[in-house]
Amino acid sequence: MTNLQFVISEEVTVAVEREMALYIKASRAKCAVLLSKNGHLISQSGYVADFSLQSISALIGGIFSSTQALARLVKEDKFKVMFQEGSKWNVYFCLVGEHFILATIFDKSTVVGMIRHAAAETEKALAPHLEKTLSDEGDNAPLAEEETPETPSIQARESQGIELPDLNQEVEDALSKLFS
Amino acid sequence: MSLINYSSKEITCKIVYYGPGRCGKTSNLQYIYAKIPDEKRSSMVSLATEKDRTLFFDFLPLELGTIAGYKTRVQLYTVPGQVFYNSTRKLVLQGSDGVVFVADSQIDQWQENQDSLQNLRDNLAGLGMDLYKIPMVMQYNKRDLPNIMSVADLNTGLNFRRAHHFEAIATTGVGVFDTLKTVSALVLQSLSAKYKK
Repeated sequence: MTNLQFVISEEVTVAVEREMALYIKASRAKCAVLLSKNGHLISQSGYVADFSLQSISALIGGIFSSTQALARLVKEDKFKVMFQEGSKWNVYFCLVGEHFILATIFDKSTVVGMIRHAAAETEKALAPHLEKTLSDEGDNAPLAEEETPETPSIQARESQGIELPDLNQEVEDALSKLFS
Repeated sequence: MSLINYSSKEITCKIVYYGPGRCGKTSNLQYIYAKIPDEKRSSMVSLATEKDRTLFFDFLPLELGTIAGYKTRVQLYTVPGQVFYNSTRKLVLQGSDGVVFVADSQIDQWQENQDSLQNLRDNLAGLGMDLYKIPMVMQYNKRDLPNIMSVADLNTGLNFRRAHHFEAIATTGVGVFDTLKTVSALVLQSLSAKYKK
């Protein structure tokens, strides 16, 4: 398994945002979130006040990962759909392709059947766009600059004491700003 | 598994705090969280057992602002340190862009540190990643306790790739921000080298 990274172009952003907006309209959900299986929020549509969508995405990524481990234990390839029912809010999530999750937060103004139907349609519409975001630059794949002896890897440069592009100051400034 | 959005000029990356049980991974995140001013604070998620041991992970998102022209978001995770939660550690480690290995400096925790580092190496390998290649910082925690190992001995025994290392007392914040700053910079430098455009 490689460590996939996602690179999102403007073209994909526009297409994904369009499909997400259509999904909210068709499903009558309050909010939908598209995320990577690792919990990175990619796109959102609709709005629910006071929900931290970043944290929700991280938790859904974790839930889905553990669910896939559970699937393997019961000799299933994967579980594609999950549904959590609360007294006011419900959450429905489904896999989109192999690497993404569409999570939907909805209340009593719609029903799970409608969500499920609209999500299946949206999944089909999103999948080809999202495929374009996959980068096969896993951690074992060569880095752009580490192919030749003239351009040693970052780690090699670290150990050889060769200077890296210095982001320390920028990171320090950003942290100072955040914590002040 | 970083996420780079060229359209909105945003980068999201994942940093995992790894180490043996009770070494101070959660304390690092709690200290960082406590220092974020209220108006900039989002939520920290902790999935803990009844005895406050990490069950699944802790999660703290940080909006760093604009770095190198990109709105930069760093997501900090911890893994559960207890030995029997290895399958959970693997899940959390998936897609990480950088690792902080938090070692417990106490002499009697030496074996636990070594076992955890070996476990990190094995779990990364299982995910197709390499301990020698991933951006990494070593943090030697609990420097305020008696019966601790010297930094030189910790470096000799644990820091075989000669990563940046920091002494820390996570509960009071010593070394916490140096660690965060360095690992964030290493991750962003690594991404910058891969995706310079």
